[in-house]
Amino acid sequence: MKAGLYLRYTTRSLTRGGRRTVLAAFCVGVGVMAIVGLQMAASMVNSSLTANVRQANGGDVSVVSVAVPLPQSELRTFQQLQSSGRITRFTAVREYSSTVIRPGGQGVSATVDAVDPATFPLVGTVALRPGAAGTFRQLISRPGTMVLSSTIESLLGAKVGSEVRVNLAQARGPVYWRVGGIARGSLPAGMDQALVVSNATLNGAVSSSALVDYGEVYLTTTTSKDASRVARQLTDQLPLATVSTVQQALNSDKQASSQLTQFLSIAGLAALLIGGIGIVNTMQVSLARRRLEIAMLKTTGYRRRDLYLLFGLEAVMLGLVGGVGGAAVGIGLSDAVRALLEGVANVVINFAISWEIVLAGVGIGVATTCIFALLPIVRLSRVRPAAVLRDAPAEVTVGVLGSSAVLLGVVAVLFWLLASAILGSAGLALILVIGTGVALAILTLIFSQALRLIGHLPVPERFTPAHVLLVTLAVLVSVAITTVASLRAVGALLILASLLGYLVVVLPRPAKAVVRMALRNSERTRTRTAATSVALFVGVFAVGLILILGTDIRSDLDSIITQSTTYNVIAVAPGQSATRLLQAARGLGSTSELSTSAAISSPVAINGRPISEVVGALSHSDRSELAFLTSGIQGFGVTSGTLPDVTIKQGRQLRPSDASTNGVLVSTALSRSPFDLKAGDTITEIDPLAPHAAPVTLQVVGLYSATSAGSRKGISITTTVAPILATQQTAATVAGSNLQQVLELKFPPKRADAAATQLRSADPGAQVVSLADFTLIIDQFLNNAILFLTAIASLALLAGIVIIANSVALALLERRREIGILKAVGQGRGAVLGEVLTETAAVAGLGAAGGMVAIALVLLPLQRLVIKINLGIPTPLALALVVGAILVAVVTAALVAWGPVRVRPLEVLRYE
Amino acid sequence: MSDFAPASSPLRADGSAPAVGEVPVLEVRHLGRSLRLGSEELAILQDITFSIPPGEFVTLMGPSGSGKSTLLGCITGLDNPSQGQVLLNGVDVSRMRESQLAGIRNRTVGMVFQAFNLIPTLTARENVEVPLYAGRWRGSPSSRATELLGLVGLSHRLEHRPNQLSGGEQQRVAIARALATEPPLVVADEPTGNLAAAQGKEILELLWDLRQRMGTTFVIATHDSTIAGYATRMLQISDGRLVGDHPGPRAGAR
Repeated sequence: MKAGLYLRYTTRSLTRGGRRTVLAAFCVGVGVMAIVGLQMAASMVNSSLTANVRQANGGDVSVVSVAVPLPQSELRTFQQLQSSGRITRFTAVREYSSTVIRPGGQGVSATVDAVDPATFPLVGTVALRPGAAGTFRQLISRPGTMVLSSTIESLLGAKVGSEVRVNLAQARGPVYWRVGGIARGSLPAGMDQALVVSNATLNGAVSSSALVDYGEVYLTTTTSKDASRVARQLTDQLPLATVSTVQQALNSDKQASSQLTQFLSIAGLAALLIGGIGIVNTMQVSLARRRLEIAMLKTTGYRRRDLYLLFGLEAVMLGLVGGVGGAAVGIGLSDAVRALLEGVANVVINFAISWEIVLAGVGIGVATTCIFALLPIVRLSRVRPAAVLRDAPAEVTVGVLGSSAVLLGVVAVLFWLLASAILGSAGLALILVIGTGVALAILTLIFSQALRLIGHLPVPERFTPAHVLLVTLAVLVSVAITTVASLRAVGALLILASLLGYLVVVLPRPAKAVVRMALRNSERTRTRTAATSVALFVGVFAVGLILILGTDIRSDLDSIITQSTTYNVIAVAPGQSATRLLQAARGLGSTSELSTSAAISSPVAINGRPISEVVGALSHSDRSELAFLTSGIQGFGVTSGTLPDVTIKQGRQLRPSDASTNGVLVSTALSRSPFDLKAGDTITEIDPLAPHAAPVTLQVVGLYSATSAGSRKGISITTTVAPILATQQTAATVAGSNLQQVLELKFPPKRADAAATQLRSADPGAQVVSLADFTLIIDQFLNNAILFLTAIASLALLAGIVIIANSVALALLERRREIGILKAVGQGRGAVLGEVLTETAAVAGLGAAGGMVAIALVLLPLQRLVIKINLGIPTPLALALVVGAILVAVVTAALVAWGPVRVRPLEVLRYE
Repeated sequence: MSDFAPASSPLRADGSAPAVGEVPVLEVRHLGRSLRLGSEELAILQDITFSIPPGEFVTLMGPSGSGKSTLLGCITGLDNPSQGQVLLNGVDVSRMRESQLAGIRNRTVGMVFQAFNLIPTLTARENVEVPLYAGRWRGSPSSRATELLGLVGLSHRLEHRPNQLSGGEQQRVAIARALATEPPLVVADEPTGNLAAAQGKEILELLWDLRQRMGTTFVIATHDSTIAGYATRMLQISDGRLVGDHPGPRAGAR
């Protein structure tokens, strides 16, 4: 019975609320949409990463040895394990470096993975994108046919059926392979950047004397216990390889996916919080308009708890409506985020609706509405009926302020509980809630004071000396700010804002009146208006920072790669081919050439201790790093005066005498714990691919940083092609007949690409790479990453727009009577609309400009401490963002205000 | 200086003494209400004392700003007196907590306002049901509301919303709501202020009729002399002081 009346009252109040109800539901909806969309996308990533983890691992155990390839003789270990019954099957993958030529002649470095179609893949199947003319096995069994990983496909832009030229190390001549299909991310993780062919296809392309080595071996076992045991044995036997069981791969995937989930949840929470501010605003006004009803209820004997129940029910219903709507749109959003993530992570993520997340989203919507509605409900339930019935203003006493503070605390605690449930971490949620609360409070305070200032800006009838002086001073200060390089865009914005001071004086009188009224209005309900500026500030800051960082990093990397290094084309070829290439390069106009040699090598001992013993105590990542930093030697013609272009951090540079003592330089990264290498230590290296190679002990004479003195500060463009730097004689001692020549060539930047293309044609067996080719990869990654992050940050901007719509609608509702009076005394609806739009533009401009200032302040320390490249806000981008934000805000306000400003004065003055 | 001395032992409107042990419905003792305006203390009500036995139809008259509404606020527990006491059915309500006052307002005092103050989203019947759901009404709120609306002549308007009713009809609904929980006292603040003369007269007739039928005590604040014609007793207030307490034209009427 009682419930029936409560329900009727609530539903009718919501229906009667009209636009206010829609606005409140929209605020809830935006938050829920973000949470559901992002969490569901994260759940899809999680499922995709963990569902087929055995297939992604290539089998029960995977052995990946990129830095130190496994020689053919090493396969005996696996054959023995198979005959002893400890593993059931295994398959080995040969790895070859190659450069794949794009239709425009640019080269893309890629790895050719040759597999045995009879045994690969060991588990599952390699799913192909639609359009492939057969299964994976059928396709690669065809001679000259390859299957591309999706990463390589996106870099090459090659279509199924097209023929692609591949420059392969140790090839007999140019190789043309046909694209048979494109894998849908179902290749083992170690092969996700490869083009896959059969062993037969590879053998047909390379010379019979070419070395046979393996980069990956996948195997299956009977039980997971066997897998662990075998993995342990292989780790001991192959100390520099990365050995992973399914469980280890799963753990690593889970870690990556949980980090993504956390990031997306935090982004969703931020949208939820901003939506919450909208709920507070809307409920505040909605209930304030019903103060008389509340007073009436109290006079008929309703207690506060009855009112909490009544309005709490209203909040629940509002949350349900917003939650259901938001969850529905969130499903669509999750698909968009999924597609963006596929682009960033280069994995196939299948779309799947998680009803748990959808239901939880609706629950979160209800909980959020109740939490944020608590403030207005409790405040309004406290009204004194006598004051309301006599239209007296609400008293603001110390007690009221104190209880409001307590209430805010309660809301913060409740939101923290909600955030803990969403993030699954009370500690992180606490940091977020406190951090966000403090940040929002500070920002609101700052914007509130800025609005006070705007509210007092003069709109004089004519130019006065004081006004001209004030505006000129503002322009001069703004110009002074533009002289600071990193604040140039901020200065430009301030100049434009200051010039408005002149413009306002020459406006016609009616327009001046509109501007004056708008500026004065912007100071009313300052906290709420400041919240609008804060919401827009957050959106512009997030989107702007991502765009600016992305653009700056990309352009800086591009320019460093193409202009600043000592070489822009690099070629690796056997001795005789190298001589021919060098001559060709000179003919093509190279401005500098450096010829060095490179040897494949792997460490067998450090300071006399066997490498298996050294790596025994190391973590997985340290082990990989050690393998990377001690495998491969680059030889320099030290006797003829060619020294490595590196910075010596410890010890000394190479000398001619090092040729006889095998003195070498190693990376300074090896000086850190747990490696602790120093000058005077020894590393014993061996050519892993030569059947009877003898180990050679190298004497560390110095430790270097790969950054050359000539390259731009902070960006590590490595100037070496192998980690151990030695004399040519030492490199030859270790490598024997497998020595390769490395040519580092510098062409005028505009001709580098063309020169690289011609060098590739001159010697198809050589690996020729233009550094500009790397920009393709970097651009693709940065584009995807920027798009993804901008999409997430745009949610904050969307929430900001919701707050603007909310704020304008509420302001107009509150000012209905005032609008009626203005119209009654002769003001047209155009003037009223003009006031609203000018006020919105001022508030939005303040928020957006604040966002730009914050970006400039963030970039200053960032470029000094972290990135160390010259970051600045491009003025056109800053202007576009601020003007764009103002336009969006003004359009939103116009849409919201269109109806209310047409109110008939009699209607409000007589009947309200 | 007031020319009126409050009765130390209140009499009934017809001049007879209340029965022995009969508790006045409303007793106001030395009531004062003041507000602080900056550094000054503004006295709105000063030393008001009177007592109303059951069944009276009392008008509280005085010019605008004389303190009528403030006095009604203190009587109904909507406002807190600065000094003195208000006893409803012998119970001192002047120092009660908010939750206790809510109970008193539900059971002991009904209120009727000049602006009707109906809840616009609820129908006439539901508006009357509102106080019945707040308290502990044992019967069916719906039946009670229907019965009361019949009593005020609105049987045919049960499911109409306030905006579908005339001003007079809205005030009838408000009266029915005030009587819903059978309070012994109904306080009305300018109940005819928003109505045309004819509608106002109808409302007054209705209130008088209800007093006759139900024995409810009415205290009506007004500055309309027509209303005074219905009073069994007339209280006069000026500048926050009680300046007159006389039998009304209908004193002694049953």
